[in-house]
Amino acid sequence: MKKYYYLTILLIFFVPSSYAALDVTISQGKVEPTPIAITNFFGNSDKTIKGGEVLREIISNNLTNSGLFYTVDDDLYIQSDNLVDKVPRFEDWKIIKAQFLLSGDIKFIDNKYSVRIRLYDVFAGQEIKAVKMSIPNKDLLRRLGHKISDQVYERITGEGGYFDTRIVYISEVGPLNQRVKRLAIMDQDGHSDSHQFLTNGKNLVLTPRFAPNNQTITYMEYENNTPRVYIYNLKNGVREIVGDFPGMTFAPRFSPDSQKIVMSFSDPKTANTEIYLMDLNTRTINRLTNDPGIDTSPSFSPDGKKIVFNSDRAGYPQLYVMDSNGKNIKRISRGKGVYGNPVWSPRGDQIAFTKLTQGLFHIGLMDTNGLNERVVVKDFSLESPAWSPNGRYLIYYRQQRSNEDGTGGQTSIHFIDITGYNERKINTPRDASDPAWSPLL
Amino acid sequence: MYIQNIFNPLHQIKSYLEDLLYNKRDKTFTLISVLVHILFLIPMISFTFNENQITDVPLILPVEMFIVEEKTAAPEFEQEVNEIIPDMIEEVQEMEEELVEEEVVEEVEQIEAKEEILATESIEEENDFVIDQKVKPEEIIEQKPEEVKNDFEIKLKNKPEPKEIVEEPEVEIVLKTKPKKKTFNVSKVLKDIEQESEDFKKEQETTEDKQSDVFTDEVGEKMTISELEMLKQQLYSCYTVPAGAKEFQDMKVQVKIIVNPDRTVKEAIIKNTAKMTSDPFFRTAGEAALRAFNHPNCSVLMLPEDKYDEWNEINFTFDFSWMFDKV
Repeated sequence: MKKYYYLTILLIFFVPSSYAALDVTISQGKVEPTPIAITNFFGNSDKTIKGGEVLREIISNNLTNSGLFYTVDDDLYIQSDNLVDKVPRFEDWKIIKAQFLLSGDIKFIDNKYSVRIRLYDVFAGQEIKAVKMSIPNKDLLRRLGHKISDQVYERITGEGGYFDTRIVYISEVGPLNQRVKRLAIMDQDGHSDSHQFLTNGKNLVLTPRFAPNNQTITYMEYENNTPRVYIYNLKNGVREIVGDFPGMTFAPRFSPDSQKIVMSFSDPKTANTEIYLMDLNTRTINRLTNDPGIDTSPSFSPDGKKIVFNSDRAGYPQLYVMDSNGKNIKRISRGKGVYGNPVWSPRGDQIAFTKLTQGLFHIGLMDTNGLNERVVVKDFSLESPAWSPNGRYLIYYRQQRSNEDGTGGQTSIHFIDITGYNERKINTPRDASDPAWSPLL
Repeated sequence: MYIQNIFNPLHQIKSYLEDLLYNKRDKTFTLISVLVHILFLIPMISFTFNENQITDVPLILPVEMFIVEEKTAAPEFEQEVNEIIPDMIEEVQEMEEELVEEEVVEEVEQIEAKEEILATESIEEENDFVIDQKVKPEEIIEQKPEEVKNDFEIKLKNKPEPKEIVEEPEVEIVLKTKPKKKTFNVSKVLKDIEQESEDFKKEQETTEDKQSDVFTDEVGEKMTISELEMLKQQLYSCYTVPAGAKEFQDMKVQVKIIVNPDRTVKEAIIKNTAKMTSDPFFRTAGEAALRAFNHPNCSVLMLPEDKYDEWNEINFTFDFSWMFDKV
């Protein structure tokens, strides 16, 4: 018995040490775009060959602009076949360091364009996605390109795409004291073909916001100096007045079910700004806050249970969270500076905000309880952060310094991912401000 | 009663505390003053008593420090690895290229045969927007190079056999040896000094040997910090961080790899298998980790060849909480 006892003790002390696997922690890596090779989209006629070129360009631009990918130069490709019906020679793609390979073809059959794609993981040497899509006419090629981009993005990153979306914004022109502001819309990539004006510039328009689950926007328009809140259905072009609100009115925003809007306006008698919730079906209005301080910029959490807003009730503007019925108000921002424009992420885990401190504007993120605050970008003037539908990117607008003669002060829309590593300007035909991102089309 | 109370120390303390409770400031200041004085006095007294002990030490210490630094085998080993590894990679790559060239002809023939079959499998038969049909995995393409026999070995210079080290007390003996107080005699004192210096030299030599044994023994059997660091640096260059992914800061992907003696990765397995199927974000992070081991730059891992027992199986944890540090 004693023998077994000693043997057990020996095993306990010596065996694990001699056979223990080595433990290594990897805490760094390359934060750089993943190389993807995109072959030609092979066509069977002149029409389809040209369409294939357009598709390839759209997909390549989308993936590159996401900051997560870069397209390997096609001059380096060793294999140049249509790889939809063929197994790629993965070694040829490994040599040029492509981690993924996308191949596709396009045919015109039965009065519709039909596209097939296959996505391969080159290093693993296997196919990871195969999709077929069709469109009735070539006018929808751009959307088809965005759809394919979403499929590729979703498979590789594991989260929803954002390419088949639009951005509504305020287009600005003229000197600073006589700005003409029009409501405009474009694809998320800012392609020149996609730009459209939605208002004629006669009245001042401000703060457009998309409904989270349909193609409807709400915005403010000043008609004869009276602020009005509108709802604009982009599918059928119907514009509807929600109401006239005397006094200062700010930033209406939809609830997650798109059935209500939350906004702030000042009572003309008391001149005190509070937050109100309007039911779009019954047009009834409920006041949510009641405080001598100014309460503005409300934004719903994606589950509709909470609202984050901005208030100076503590003496200077800070961020607060309350229940959607106005109860249980808690301050969440703790840092120095003037906080504003809070927007709840569609993922529900973070709040984006602006902060003015040390003479600079910052766009930052914090957890919904106010912890882990971090700055994503800072500059002379940054405003209106808005989330992409997948909660991975932000758009905002940047304003340059203005001169005494009224020149300068140009505004432009920018795009950045939440790590702050990838920032780029979205091209617009004129100055652009106050962007809002649509849900997926 | 009153007089008794005056001379009773307990009563004195009690009344003093009562005074404090009623915020009598002058007494509070007195108390603080006494406490501060005590605080200063304690360290002064302790320094005074410790003085003798400190003066005994410096004879031995500087000599030991010098010897350890000079004799450790670790720096020499690092240099060797740095010289050998680049050559090794080149040689392995050359051999791989040769092998690939040889197999290409056969492979092309087989692929062409497969292509014809696949071309006949029409995707058009399927419904719009969905293609379930997948290209069959190509078995031939997995080109695992034959085991590369290296013409070289990494050897440690003067690698001694591990010895048991039990003689730690001897070091203490050196520290404790003090000349005993004797009657003053010049010739005896000189002899004592000579004898002491000889003893001291012997002691130094034995200590030196033991120290070098200790260090070379560890370097020979276990992965050193610099070797581990080299492996990490190699993988950093092969791993692309899926930055900005949801809950990425909380994801810790664990990958177990089994390594061939030629330092190529035989098998890489994600340990958290359940999450790979249930959580798409985790799957992304996991796939990114696996791609690191398939990356051409990491096909041959930078590992010391003579320590195969140490690295034949490695558990990697990919942890990126650093990306989300507060700004």
